[in-house]
Amino acid sequence: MDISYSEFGLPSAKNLSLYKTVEYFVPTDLYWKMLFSDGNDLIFGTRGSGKTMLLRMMSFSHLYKFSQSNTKAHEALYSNKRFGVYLSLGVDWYVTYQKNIDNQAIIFREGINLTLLEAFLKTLNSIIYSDVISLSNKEETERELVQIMAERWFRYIKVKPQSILALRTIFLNHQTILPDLWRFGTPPNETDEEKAGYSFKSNTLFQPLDSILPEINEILSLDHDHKWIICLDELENLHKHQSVMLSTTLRSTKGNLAFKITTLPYTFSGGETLFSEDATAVELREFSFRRLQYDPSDGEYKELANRIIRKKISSFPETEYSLIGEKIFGDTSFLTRAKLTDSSFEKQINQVKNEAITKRRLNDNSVRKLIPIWSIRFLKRMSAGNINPIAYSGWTTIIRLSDGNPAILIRILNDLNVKKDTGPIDPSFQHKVLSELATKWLEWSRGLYKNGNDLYNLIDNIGNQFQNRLHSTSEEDPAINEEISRFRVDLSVLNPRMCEAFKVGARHSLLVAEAEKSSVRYPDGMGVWRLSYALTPKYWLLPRRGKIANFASQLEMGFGRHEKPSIIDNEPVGVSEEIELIEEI
Amino acid sequence: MSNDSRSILSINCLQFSEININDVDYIISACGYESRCIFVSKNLLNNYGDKEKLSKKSIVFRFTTVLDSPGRKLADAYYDELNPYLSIPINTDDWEIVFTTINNLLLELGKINPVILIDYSSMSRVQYLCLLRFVEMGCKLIFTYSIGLYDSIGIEFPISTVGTIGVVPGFEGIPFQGFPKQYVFGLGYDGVGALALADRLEVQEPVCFWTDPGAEKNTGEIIQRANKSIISKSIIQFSRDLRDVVGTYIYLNRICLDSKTTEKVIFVPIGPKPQILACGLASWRYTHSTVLAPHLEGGGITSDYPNIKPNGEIIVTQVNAA
Repeated sequence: MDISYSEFGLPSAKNLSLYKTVEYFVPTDLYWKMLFSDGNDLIFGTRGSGKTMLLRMMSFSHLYKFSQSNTKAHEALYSNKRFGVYLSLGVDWYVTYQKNIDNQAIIFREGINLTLLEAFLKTLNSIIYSDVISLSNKEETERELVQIMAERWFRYIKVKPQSILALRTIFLNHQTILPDLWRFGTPPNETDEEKAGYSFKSNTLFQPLDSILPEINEILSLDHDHKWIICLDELENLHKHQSVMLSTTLRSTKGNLAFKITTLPYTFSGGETLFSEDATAVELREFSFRRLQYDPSDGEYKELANRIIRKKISSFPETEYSLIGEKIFGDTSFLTRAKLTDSSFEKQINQVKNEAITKRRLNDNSVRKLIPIWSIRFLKRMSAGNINPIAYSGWTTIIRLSDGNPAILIRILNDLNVKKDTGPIDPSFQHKVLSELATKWLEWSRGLYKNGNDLYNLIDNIGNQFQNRLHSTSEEDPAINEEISRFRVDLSVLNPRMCEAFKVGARHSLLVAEAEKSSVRYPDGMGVWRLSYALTPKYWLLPRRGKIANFASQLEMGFGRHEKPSIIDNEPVGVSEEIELIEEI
Repeated sequence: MSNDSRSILSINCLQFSEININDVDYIISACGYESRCIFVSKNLLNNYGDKEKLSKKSIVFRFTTVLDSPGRKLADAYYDELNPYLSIPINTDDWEIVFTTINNLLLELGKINPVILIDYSSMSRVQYLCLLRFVEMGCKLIFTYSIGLYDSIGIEFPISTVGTIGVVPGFEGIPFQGFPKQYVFGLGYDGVGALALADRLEVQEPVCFWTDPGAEKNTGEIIQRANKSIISKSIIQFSRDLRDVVGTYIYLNRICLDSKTTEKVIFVPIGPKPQILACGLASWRYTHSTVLAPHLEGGGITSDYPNIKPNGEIIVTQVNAA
């Protein structure tokens, strides 16, 4: 085993500066909908889907910068007063502190409230001294607000703060004191708190901020019930009892806060609360669930991809940005690439087409759908020779291989050395890079969690089975005409380890749970799954939706079923239940 | 930002022979599967010869896992024979038990400037770094580390993946929402684990350092080979002598100082424990720094727990309030 096998990872928006975040940001419909909405939104998105970018761009500082170049952002800020506070629930102590659960709830609550209020104060200060709201005396307003907030949030303060900066310093000190008070792993008593100078107290999550906002709104001449946006990022880091606590609070907080929350699939259900079962049954009806996943064949994603490459190749004229990808990578179909690889393919394909129409009585439309299959089979066969393969190349294929994930697209462009003044890139180099990346994504699966090998084996097993069918050498094999690239699986009956492999794969964009009946939820039970298109070069598959197989028995792979084995049919692979639209690519 | 409620530390490297057992009030050690975990205690016994005195001062925390390995059997036999003053079972990440036990012992002792020897050769970072708080109570802490001999490093080292990521108690730092994060990776032999961790934390341009010279002559070379990928992404790279904890502390302290108004510094020490200790010492007085306690777990390849034997050298670091 080569332990230095690959470079992991996707580019991340986490550590981008404000300036770079705004520069790289491409607004989408979802962004505007969330920004202008007063409702609560819970967004599920895989690694690299743009969750952090989306939320950071709703924070006041980012929106303010963005509003200088974007009229809609200007409207959101100046007319609609969309004021956002960004809070990342990363690996900070109040999230990671893990001991007695009851006690942990206290430190989690206090920690989040302290951190949120400190971030809120920073935002409030920026708002007051910006031109977004008009105030006759900004200093006086600041003093008035500080007085109210200090009185409300602290039991006592030795020296009364006169400015937001001074109040923020008190919050920072409290953040230092709190973990010290917990040094024995148990909650401090009031005497300890007093000795240490800790006087903040909160009863529930977000309550200190929520309860004071009507007064702040009034002082800032906003509507009494004006809603402030709280952007909570990285909920995936929360432990289960923290998620339950958060869900409980979110369901009961209805005041002046609009929550915009992002998390990875399968990390925060939002449904489990501390309320009674009857109350929980309504399950977060006040939330809009959204899924941050683009369809790679959809126009909106193509537009996003064009905008992303335009940002990388700044030398290209803005008016022609939609042509950059095509100019650099070309834009051929699998059929064209097969013909370019060997001119004899033209003759072969005409012969196969004629046979399909005359002998098998297929109509033109069916034949059109089969052409990419014949082409990829030919391209794979040819790759065995000395020819440099070009099967996976061209802008449309690159977009498709990024599978609707902006970070995967950026990683592909980075590995293809796309820079400011890059010219046309050789298709064989494109193929080489895309194939190497596909191998890296597969290797990446090993390092994602403790049982990474389960996920690796799962993906590799599926990929090889699909590959064997699509590239079967038997002329009689019906799989030649039955491209299967998706499978139906019921997670609820799988062994927990296998189930975990599916979920981790989904979080990291290695496995895609296709939405059935336009659900935005990732399936907990029966669902239709496929490999990420980013992996298709590894297995010589087509990056498109093929037929669906019942795949349960093949997926067991030694782990065994957990329970209810009779639910899944034991139909052999290849018995498709549904014929999906097969697009020519 | 400085945490002014915490003392400025005085840190010195000592020779093992400079330790005067008569000055030491308690000797804290851990009993685990690495046979080096008894090396310091054995040497103290050899140097001073008074088993009864050593026994009365010894507090041994015994890990409740991996009980059947050859190294563990040796260690158990040694400590059973020594008959320490306290022998306390602990799990890998129990730090409250360690902290509370020592706190109670110090209260009982009632001495103004007690001296505690902490043999951290086989302790987990949350257990020995949390003891740094006792410096604030006037304690002098003597950290001892027995350098290990590793078998088959780089060949059979298990592929690691990231488990739970925690923060070392006492080194939490303030979250500083909105501050960019500067990750500082202390690299070791586990290059895959480091890369998996960097991926999980979504690290872009880390600072990387490693030990050279380290436990072996070619340690630096092995570490650089195993961590080639993450080193290539780093903005600053440097190596430090494993034995020079003070020198490493000074380097890391400069990073904290340089970034105190611009970034949050997150130490991610993966490599040998003296490197972890140096991260803790550098982070001690800064609220904008955090020391992580990530769990790297066996991933693709399962491997037996390596029996890390002592190579005969002991690194001694003395810490007290300046």
